[in-house]
Amino acid sequence: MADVPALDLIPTAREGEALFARGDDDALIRRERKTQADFDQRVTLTIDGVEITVPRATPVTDAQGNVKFGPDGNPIPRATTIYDAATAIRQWDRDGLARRIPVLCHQDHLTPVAVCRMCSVHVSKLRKRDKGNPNARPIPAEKLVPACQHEVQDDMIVTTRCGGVQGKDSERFAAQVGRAAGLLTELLLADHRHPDPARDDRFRNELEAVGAALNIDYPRPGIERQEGRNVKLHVKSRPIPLEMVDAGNRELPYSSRSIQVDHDRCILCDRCVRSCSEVKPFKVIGHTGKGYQTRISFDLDQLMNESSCVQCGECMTACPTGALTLNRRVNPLRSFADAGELESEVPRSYRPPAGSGDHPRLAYYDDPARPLPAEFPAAVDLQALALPYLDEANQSLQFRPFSAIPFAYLRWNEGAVRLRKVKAGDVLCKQGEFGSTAFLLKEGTFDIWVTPKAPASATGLLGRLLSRRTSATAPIKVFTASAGRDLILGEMACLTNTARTATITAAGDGVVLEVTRNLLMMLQRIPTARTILDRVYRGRAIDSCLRRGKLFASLTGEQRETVLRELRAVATLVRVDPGEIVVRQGDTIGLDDKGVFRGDFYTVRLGSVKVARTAAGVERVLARLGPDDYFGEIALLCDDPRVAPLLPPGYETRRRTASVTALDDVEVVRIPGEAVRQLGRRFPEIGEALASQCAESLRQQQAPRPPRTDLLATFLDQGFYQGQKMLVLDLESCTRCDECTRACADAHGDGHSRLLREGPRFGQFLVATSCRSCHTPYCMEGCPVDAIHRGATSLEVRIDSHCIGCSLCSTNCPYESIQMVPRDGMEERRVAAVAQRAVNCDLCHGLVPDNAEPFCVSACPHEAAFRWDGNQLLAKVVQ
Amino acid sequence: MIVQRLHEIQNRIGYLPDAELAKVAREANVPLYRVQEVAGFFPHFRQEWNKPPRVELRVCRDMSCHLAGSDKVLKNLTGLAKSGEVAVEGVSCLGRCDRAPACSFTRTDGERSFHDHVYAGRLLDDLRRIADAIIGGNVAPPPDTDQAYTPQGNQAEWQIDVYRNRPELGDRTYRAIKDFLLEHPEPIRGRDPKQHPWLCRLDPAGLLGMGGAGVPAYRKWLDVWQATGDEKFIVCNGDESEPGTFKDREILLRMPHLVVEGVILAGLMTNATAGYIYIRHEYGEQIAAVRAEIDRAIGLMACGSNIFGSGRTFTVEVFVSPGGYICGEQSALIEAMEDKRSQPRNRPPELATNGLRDKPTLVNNVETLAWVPAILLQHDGQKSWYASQGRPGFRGRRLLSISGNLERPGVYEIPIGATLGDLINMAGGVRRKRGLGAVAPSGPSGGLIPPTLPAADGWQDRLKGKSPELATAIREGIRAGGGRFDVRHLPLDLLLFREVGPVLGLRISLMLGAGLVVYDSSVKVMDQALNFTRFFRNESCGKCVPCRIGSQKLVEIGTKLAGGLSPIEREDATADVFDLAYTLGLTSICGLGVVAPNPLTTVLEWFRAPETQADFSID
Repeated sequence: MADVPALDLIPTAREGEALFARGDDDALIRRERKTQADFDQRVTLTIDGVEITVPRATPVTDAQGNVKFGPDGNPIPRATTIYDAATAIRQWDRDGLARRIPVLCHQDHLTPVAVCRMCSVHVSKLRKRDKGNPNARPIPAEKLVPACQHEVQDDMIVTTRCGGVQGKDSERFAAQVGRAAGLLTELLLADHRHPDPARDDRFRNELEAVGAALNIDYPRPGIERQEGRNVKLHVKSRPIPLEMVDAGNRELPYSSRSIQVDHDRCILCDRCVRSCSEVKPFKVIGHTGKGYQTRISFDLDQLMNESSCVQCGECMTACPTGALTLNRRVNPLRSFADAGELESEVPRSYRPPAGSGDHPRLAYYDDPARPLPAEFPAAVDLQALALPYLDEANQSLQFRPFSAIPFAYLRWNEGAVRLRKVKAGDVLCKQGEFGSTAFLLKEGTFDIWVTPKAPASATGLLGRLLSRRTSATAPIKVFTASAGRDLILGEMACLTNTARTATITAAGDGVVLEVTRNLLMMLQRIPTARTILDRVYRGRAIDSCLRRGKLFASLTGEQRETVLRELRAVATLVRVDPGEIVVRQGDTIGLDDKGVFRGDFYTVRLGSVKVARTAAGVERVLARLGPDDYFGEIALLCDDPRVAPLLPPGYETRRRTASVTALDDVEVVRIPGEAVRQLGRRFPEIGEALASQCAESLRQQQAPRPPRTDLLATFLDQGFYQGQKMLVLDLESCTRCDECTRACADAHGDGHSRLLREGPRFGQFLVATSCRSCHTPYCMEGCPVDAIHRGATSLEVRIDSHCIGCSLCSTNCPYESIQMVPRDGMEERRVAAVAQRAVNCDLCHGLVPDNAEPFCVSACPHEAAFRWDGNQLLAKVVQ
Repeated sequence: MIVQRLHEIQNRIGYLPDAELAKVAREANVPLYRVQEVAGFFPHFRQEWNKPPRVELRVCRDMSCHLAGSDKVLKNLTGLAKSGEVAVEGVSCLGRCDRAPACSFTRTDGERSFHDHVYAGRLLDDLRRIADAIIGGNVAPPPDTDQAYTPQGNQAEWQIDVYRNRPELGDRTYRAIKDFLLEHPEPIRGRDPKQHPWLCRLDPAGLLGMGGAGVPAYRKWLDVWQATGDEKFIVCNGDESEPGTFKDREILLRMPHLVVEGVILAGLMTNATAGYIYIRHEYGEQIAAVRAEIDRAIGLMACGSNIFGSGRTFTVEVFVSPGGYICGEQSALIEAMEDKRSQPRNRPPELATNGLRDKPTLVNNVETLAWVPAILLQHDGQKSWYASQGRPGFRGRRLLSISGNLERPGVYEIPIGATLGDLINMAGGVRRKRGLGAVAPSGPSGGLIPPTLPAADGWQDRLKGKSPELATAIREGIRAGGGRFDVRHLPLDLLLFREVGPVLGLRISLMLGAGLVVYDSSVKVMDQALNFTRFFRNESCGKCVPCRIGSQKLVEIGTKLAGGLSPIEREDATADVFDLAYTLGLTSICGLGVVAPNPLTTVLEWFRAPETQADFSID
């Protein structure tokens, strides 16, 4: 026999039980859903000779790498896998790990399915009685196990294809793994049609990268590439109608306007299937067929264009082999405030059929082969882009922001990054304006200006609720950023959908890369980029929050900077999910036995929190706090002679007097109580302010019948506090004539009213279902094409015409204000889902002069309609 | 209930209209793709784009039928195919291997419609006449039912039906259940087997799982009994889709009371809450027989609520399998029952702890459960009746299906320890007194073994410490084979079978299944091996890469090998096959991928020596 390799064993029997199926007592172990307790349990195993101890459970993360929380507010646990444990071994860098455990079908944020088997490793089990015996031979498993899915166990000895320990067994096992992984790679390469060179520039081939890590670039002659398994086309696999096909751009069956579907390049890794259901909520992609004929399919095996797919692009982003590639590019140029519309030429590749009524303005699909104007860097250049910066230790490092973003996504979003050359004095953004872009600094120096607010004067419950932004004073230059040292500016407004907190001007000639929000979100999926950005973000968030904080309003500029420097070192930024408790009533505070002060002080940076006290089982809402408000002051001063006498009987002096709960996505800056106490001693103004605030808070808590707290609870429950421009109808004068609805539909000229004259009531008012222009615009989260924005200086939430109709904004809006409607003139022509777009109240932007009331208000013959913010509404009702 | 809803729609309309599938999705509150995943997986389900034509002629293409010339039948009938009118296609094993070739014909034509008429054991001309009649709209001859056909076999000697052999127990009285409940009216709970005397009766019996893996039944039952949980399930695996295997077909049809009693006993003894008998949809008569038997059992108060007045409840129902060899893989079967694509699960966990709907589940083969009443009723102190039924040194009896070039293919009950030669003789020997050419000892899964196997030097040393039964078998086999091992001396015992390979120094271990196919000396082994390999390719579920692509590559290489290659090319191809075998064995999720290379490896390994005079050509 010529070259048949020596076989130590070909497993031929039907398999028996898994090696780690039974515990030490020989009983089968039931696999239970992991619990919080498993986070604390430790498992020790050995991988290639390296011993590693890991928690039994690992938190589930989303596609952004953020930990997901369950309804109980705790991180959702999942079983820790061998791959998780291997990732925790620090001495292996990314490439080293990829050589030891190549992965293809696995992504950290997706449920492991273990279908590609590339990550197969050898495991053996040390018998209990052999523990500590160096000569003992562990029991080897008959088959390899997938590292991405197999749970870690104590006494597990893992061998990857690289091995690591000297010794016959280890080398033999490593050889087993290596041989299997090598052939699997060849099989995959043989089954994966070689990419079409014309489309090679639209994705990165992870399969070929895995092959390269294993030194395999082509399958052996015996199992060479065959024409794909889909040569025999499914009956339904007819090409897309000709009118949609450019002569030079032949589309494959099943493709859609945005995405080309090539089953012959698909390796059935399942990543698109899971992305469609786990990352996005659309649940369109599944499998059809069996065995070698299995392919991915859409809904009931429809063409992608005719399925309920909204073409959000997530599947294409997840695809490792170019089976789902970019067909046409979304043109998001309008995201930039000062960018004009791209020449309104209808791309040849998308010619709407005659008589369809499809307006050329809606031709937002663009042939990716067409180069964009020079100010928009190509995806390939973006991936190569490296920006120098200084880290905390003043070390100069390179940041490659786009290097790890899926290439297909970058390609799809070419035009989402704009190279801007600026001159001295050019303004990048203005404080108070809404912006959805961030600026990566390439060259030059930039000044950051903040206009501080005048001290707030109002006190009392309503005063605090109604406190309005007061008139501005002169801007202060807070710092200067320069390329090479700092990386990014303007990221805060972009990430939180809030108004700019500072004005940025160029100090000289410079170059910035302006990045849209969807791309910045995608950037955060990359762990390194996330770490770098998070550090920048946290530092600046703390800074801006402390700078604006009401507590320091009384300080002079110089004092304030000193205080800021000190607090910056001790303050931390805490992110809180809706419903999560920040401070719990009854928690211990004050000086402990060792004389250390316990109890933190908080300033709200973003979002709203509810302050409530529960007594005799009844919760009383005391206040809603928003950005720049603070809480936790009673804890600080509970032993202060000015405050202690105010504490009524029944109050335990060393306990929190109320709970503070997040109402939405909240960021708070946490400052150790002792730091603030010292501050109070050094600056009597601060001490005074705190003490009087305490007194005020306590007075409220003790009021026998606090003014209208039931009203406040409703106000918070119904989310009215979020509103900045709610459509409010006075039911005492409204005759239900519906003129408002008609005026809206007429004014927008498409027959769709943006308002519904129904909604929750508050006092004598009805808050209609129409965009409230929330403080926290949930609707903007996750828009895959960055098609939803605020105006630069106005509150309306606009939806651009390149909306793909994925309905995510509509689902996100808690008040059901965004509707999905068929596209113009397309009602009959296609499945509604594809033709959908979102419409929302735009406060008649562009239809009425600036600062004029929108039509719903002006059309009301009875003067019963108003556009109010939450505080106006509350004030009216309280009156 | 997606799978059963799809059965219902297809039976009503003849295929699955998209509108109906959308309705199923709405009712089950699942996305459309979830329904498509199921409807698209099973070839049995026909979707709207793929509506069945008026007449469908399906011809079994596997093993015994292939041997009986089913490819010629298929070729001949293909002449009748007419687009949109008549479809002619191959189909995986129909379980009528004792009457090869088997065909399944369907006519969808209003009142003259009929579904899955099986015509088995007929000559080509006959089949052609039937096909012509069906296409021509004439009255179709009645199908060849299993009820009307008494298979060859040694039925008179069968011990499995305790009620037939011990008339004093009464006619199918569910006596074992009654006795158990008399002794233990309350559920037995605990972890120590000593607390459960009835469970302990299974241990000395030595009853092994008859589905292939051969896990002791006692072990499985103990695991499920010990597993904690309010809900537990018993699943009887009647998916019998391995070519060459048809013994469960006979048990389900002619002795359904044993199966139903076995399931109920398993349920009551392990404190399970419900039992399912999972039967392949091609076994229509068997499904009806089992359903009727369940009704009878309910009438006797042996099943349902308040069983024999004990207050205990256990329900049994039939789950009609959507079909496919992979459904026989126990975790894939559970997935199908959960309305998913029938794809095996990654292990651990095992089904005994995390089975159907994540509850502890016992999955046993039909025959395993059918032996249980006889074992429990005839238990006598420490002696196990069942254990005493084997040849000396062996325990128990079992049913084997045997087909191929034999005088009397059929189902035989043998004492464990009887040899392959004994079984071939029982079945009348090789047809027309031809010499033995090859044996497939486990459907297609074990590949083909030649009449004699090589015995590598040192086999005497390797016998040291082995059981006397193994030693005897090996010595006698090698004496009879004149230095090679004569496979007629292989004892038909799962455990011993596996030990023979290592003693002889074989690189591929031997497998014993429930279906054996015997080939005479005119066999073209590569042709057969390719036929087996195609079966695995067709039946792979497609979940994991090694099996999905590997089985296709094996077919491609096998086709080249069978087509004739130069010696150098052949050596390369052989190396690739072994490399695939190695990788599939190590990395496939389930056993299908592990055994898929066996047909090619066994033929390449054992039939290349001149002694076997193997014919590698292809018909």
